[in-house]
Amino acid sequence: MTFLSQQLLACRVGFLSLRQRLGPSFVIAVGMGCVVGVSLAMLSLTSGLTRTIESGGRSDHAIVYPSDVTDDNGMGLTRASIGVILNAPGIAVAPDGTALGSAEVVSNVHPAQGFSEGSLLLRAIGPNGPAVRPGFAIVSGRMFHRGIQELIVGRGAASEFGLKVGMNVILPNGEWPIVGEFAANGSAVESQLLGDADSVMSAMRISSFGGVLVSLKNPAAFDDFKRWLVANPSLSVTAERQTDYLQRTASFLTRYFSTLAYIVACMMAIGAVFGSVQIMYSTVEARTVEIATLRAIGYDPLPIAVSILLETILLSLIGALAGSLVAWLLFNEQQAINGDTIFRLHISGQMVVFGLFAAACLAALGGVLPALRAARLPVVEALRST
Amino acid sequence: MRYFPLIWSALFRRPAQTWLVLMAVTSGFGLFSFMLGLNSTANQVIDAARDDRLYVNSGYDSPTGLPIAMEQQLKSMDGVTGVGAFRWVYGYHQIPRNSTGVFTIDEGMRIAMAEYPISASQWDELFSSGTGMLVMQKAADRWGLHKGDVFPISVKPGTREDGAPSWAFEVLEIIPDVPQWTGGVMIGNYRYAENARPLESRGQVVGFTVAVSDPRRTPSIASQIDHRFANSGTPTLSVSSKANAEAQVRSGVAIASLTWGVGTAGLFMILFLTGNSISQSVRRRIPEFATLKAMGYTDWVVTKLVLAEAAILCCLGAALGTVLAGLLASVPRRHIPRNLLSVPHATVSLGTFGWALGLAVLIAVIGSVLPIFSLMRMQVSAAIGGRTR
Repeated sequence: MTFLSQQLLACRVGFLSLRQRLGPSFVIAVGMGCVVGVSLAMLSLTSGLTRTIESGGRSDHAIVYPSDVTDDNGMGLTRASIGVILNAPGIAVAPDGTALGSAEVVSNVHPAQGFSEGSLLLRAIGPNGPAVRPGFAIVSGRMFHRGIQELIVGRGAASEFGLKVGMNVILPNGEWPIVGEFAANGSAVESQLLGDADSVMSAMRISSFGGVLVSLKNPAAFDDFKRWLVANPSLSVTAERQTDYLQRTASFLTRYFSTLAYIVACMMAIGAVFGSVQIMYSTVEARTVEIATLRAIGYDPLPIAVSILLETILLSLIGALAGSLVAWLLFNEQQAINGDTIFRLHISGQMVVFGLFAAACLAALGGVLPALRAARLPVVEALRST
Repeated sequence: MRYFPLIWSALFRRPAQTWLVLMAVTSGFGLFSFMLGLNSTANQVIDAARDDRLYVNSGYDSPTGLPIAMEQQLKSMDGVTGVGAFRWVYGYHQIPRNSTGVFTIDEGMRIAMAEYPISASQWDELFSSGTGMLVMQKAADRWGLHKGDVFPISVKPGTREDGAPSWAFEVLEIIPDVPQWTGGVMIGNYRYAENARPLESRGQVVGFTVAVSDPRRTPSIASQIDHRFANSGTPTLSVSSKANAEAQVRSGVAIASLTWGVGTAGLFMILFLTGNSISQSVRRRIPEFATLKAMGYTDWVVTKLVLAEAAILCCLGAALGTVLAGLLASVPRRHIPRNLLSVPHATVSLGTFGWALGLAVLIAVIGSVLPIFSLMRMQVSAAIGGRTR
């Protein structure tokens, strides 16, 4: 008998007897399902947050901010420097002939009851603010008018904080009506309120900007653009490609969630592996006679060992698939907030595949010792034990 | 106690298998206790936040913060018993990625932070020393600081009037931790730091802590303060310390909301594993139990034997798991990877231990129900021969 046919038969015998071992088999599946389900649920935070932050990024966009800070959240750019920055080479031109860039500044707004300070931000944007954001669209109401005290709210902020068109937001010099709700490709700016830079800054007595978002003629224009800015003695700013900038800020936020997820997954995985070793040992024990009989009629030890291993892997995969499904049903696309970013938890197909692969590896780890024991079972003694 | 040898021999009839189950139960309970510890840290932050304290911050992220002159106006308000100002000295220690800060405060904090574990002589020392700072235990662990050490912080150009690139603080005392500062804090002298700043940036604070005589008046005093400064150059935003702590813990992807889910999944896994292991063990020993019943042992005694076996395994696992979680939680902060420094410290306490043990007993009981039920229904005569009926 060839190795392959021995292997197929050994597996068949194993699976036929599986019905008698439903309980223990179920426990292996549940264990692995818990490991994969919990890991996916925790990683969905990281993946959702990354998706939201990075979805606003384009490689032909750049962010300019003061060189002594690491982001555009401060207020270090004077009005005078904005004019210089927008004169840099490589910036695309808007239909009205102006440079396609938006000088912006972000400030805190008192959020609704029950949310911590700093969770709702108001971004004051320039006239080209919408044009430098791909996918920007008003989904209800209208755009704010420049020079008037009006705001528009992002989709995420609208649902998280309950800010609807027609409501008012209290700012230093009065109540500002929300006149529209906008979408922007599901990016992080949807977590914020937007207003006209001139109106917001004069109301809040802010005189400088945090950063400038510009659209370049093409991605290759970035190097010259940055070189020009950095070398300009009248400025102390730096520029970063928007994709790089968002990736950097996102990884700063998500690193700790994913590290935590892996630590939790490790601890659960250790438990699940010990559990499956124990269960597969008892499986081998329960199948002693069956295995010894196969050996006695001429089966090699290897196909028997492989069949034990395959059984562990199959049971774990079934559990992992169920765990992924539960995690997906419970968490996928659930809205969450982290700091000032509203996002939706996200479980991708890739993550599920990774979960299944990890489950298979853990199962192989847990199955290898019992499989060896099955292969090395002394035939005569095993048969005599009945 | 009479049956202890019986239980013990049953547990260690297959030592390898028992050890494997014990390891799995230990790691499950380790995870559970750690998660419970994180959760209790979050609760401590809320419990410790006082409802007779207010934080007065700059309303809309003003780049210059609030003027120190506001302190006198706040003090004169009805119902306010004390006002302290604070401002940070931010920078990094040795290398840029070691960012850190000193929380500098003025004398008003003696009243506004009266609940902090700082003695009168330590307050005196802080405000008379200039460069001195009081360091909470966790911050001291994080930076490896001892009394008398000097801790230099490199700052951005323009932070100091004399142009010096760094600020050196001397550790006066190590003080106990308070829950609000989950990573500990270093407390410095505002007046000293202020005098070293360039003239144009002096006289600013990040905010004030206000002590209020009657907690019931906290919300109304907060709105009075905001109302009073609404039309000034620096509008304020006042929140009660308690409300702020609650919002911070509850809103957002707080660790606290994750912990229960993860902990429960861990326990769920253990429940199935223990149940399976007990039923396997009982199945193997059917003739043994049948003999006991034939000798006149009641169902209740047999039930107790099975329960005790399960409970010993689970409780031992729970105890070891909690100890493991405690060890994990007590890793000094300077050995924790940087990615994880923002994870709050887990508080693994006797309470956590109690919870773990209680749940261990519960799991043992639930896991033993089916095997016990099958033992009760077995026919003794058949079972002695190794069959169930």
